[in-house]
Amino acid sequence: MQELLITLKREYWENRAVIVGLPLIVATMALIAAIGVEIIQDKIADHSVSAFIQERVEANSPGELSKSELKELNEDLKELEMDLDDFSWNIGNDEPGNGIGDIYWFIGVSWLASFYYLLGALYNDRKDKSILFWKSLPISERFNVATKLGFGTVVVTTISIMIGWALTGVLFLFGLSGIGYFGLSPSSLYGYVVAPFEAVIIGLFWGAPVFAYLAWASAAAKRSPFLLVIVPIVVLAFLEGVVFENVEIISFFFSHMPFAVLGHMNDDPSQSVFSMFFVEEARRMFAGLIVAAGFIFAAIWYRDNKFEI
Amino acid sequence: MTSIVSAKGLSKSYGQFKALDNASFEIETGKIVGLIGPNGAGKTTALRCLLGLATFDGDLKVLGKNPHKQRIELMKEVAYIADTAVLPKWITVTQLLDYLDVIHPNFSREKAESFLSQTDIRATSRVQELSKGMVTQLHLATTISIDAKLMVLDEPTLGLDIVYRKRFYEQLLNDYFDEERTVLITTHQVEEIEPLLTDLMFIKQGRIILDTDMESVAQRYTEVEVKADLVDKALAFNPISQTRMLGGMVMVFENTPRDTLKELGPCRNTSVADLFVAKMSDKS
Repeated sequence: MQELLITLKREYWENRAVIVGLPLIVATMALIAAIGVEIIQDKIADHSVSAFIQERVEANSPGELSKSELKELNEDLKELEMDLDDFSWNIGNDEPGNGIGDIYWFIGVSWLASFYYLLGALYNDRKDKSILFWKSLPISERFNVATKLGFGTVVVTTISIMIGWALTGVLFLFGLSGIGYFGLSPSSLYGYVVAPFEAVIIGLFWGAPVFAYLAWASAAAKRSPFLLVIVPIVVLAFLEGVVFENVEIISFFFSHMPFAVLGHMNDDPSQSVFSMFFVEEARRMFAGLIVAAGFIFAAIWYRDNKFEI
Repeated sequence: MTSIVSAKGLSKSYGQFKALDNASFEIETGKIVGLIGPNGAGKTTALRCLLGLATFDGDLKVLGKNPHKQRIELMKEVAYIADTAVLPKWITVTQLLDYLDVIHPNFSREKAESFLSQTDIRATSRVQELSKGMVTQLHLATTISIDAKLMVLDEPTLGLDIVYRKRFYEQLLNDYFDEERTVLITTHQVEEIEPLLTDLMFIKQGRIILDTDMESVAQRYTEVEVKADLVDKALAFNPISQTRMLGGMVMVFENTPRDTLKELGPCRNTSVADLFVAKMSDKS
């Protein structure tokens, strides 16, 4: 257990600029956007209320408003306030799923960070030859590859979720959070705490062939892992399209992007995403896991036998 | 003495190229062995096989284990320095010690910190901030803090200035080596390690062409400054090498009694460097 923890720490030490930096940039942008929206919204509100009152006053001037007119004005103002709340709700301050500070954005961004991390995870130490130092220690490549895959798929996203939580806290302090509007409810707790990890775990399994493919490319590349990722896809797409006139393999690959999980979570929140991927798509899930196992095995083999560049 | 490394018919090919060709040798406990050879002779391949980093044909046991199949177990008792550039550049000294402390069962953090306290290396420094010499100091400090039975050094002082090279070998002798530990070194700076060595192996085109202890080297090989008029007579003793010099030739003889050679000119022990050149140019 200690070995696993220190190895995960090692990955964090090496890659923190990307895995913390990227979600932090997103968080900062989201915070700026939320504050900007709030300022604009206040200005619109002030302007709308002033214009509204001015319009009413002009319509009734000279003279005082009657009781019925005052009641009507009061109802109009309430309606305007509700419209502005809706505006605010839709733009930035809502529950997870639709807004600027949305925690799913962080998961999406963290998967991009995962892709970047995995492309370098089994390549960088071969490039700078530090692999010879790591190999002088009693640690197996099986352990190394498993740790790096685990770090790239679980730890990177968890760090992103934590930064997402921190942003929610900051938005709450500024009075910009959905929690501030409606309070903590079981549904918002689910949205903020449980659903992101559900997305991460399902994304890990569903996206396993993509993650494993990147790890393999990182372990096998002599020069550019990115090219080793792209070239086989392009060649395969060409062969499939031109020779076999179908796109089965390529669409299998792209449909296994982990982002698909987020898409389904947003499409129909009432449907269980877990059953969607593990029951309804069980065959595709299983096929993906088999493909992933093949790529992981190949990555370990390359690390054991062909690690020199 | 017990064998710490035993190789019989060790071979390794890369395509058509034979990097190791039926090499057989034994390394005993408590020795400092120099594995010397020209570039491409198979030194690094031999070390990689010993460390389980490459597959091989033949029979190879290191500390009684098959290095390729039991690499993880083996690396608990073997320390290895590849060259000065292999420590990861992003890591700080403290992180390195933290990591080794957990990962290596035979690593002593106290020892490493004690060694490092004698240097200018700060705990917060990243490897990329250190000079080449300091990186080597750091690497050596961490490596000799591992209670390893065998230390393998592959060109450990490559690119270092003479001060750091000298310090490196001094520390290796003072703080690591004893009669229960073994050191295997490959280097091109033969003169510098000669005083350290107890045993010597020459490798050429994947084959071990010399495997002996340093005492035998002195007994077996003699270097003679042969005067010009005695060259023909000297050639009759089949020298393994001959180099022109002012007024004669310098020749190296193998297994020729020194009393006999005295007639040809002044005799002396052959240096490892001269013996290396002689053996490498020997066509026999």
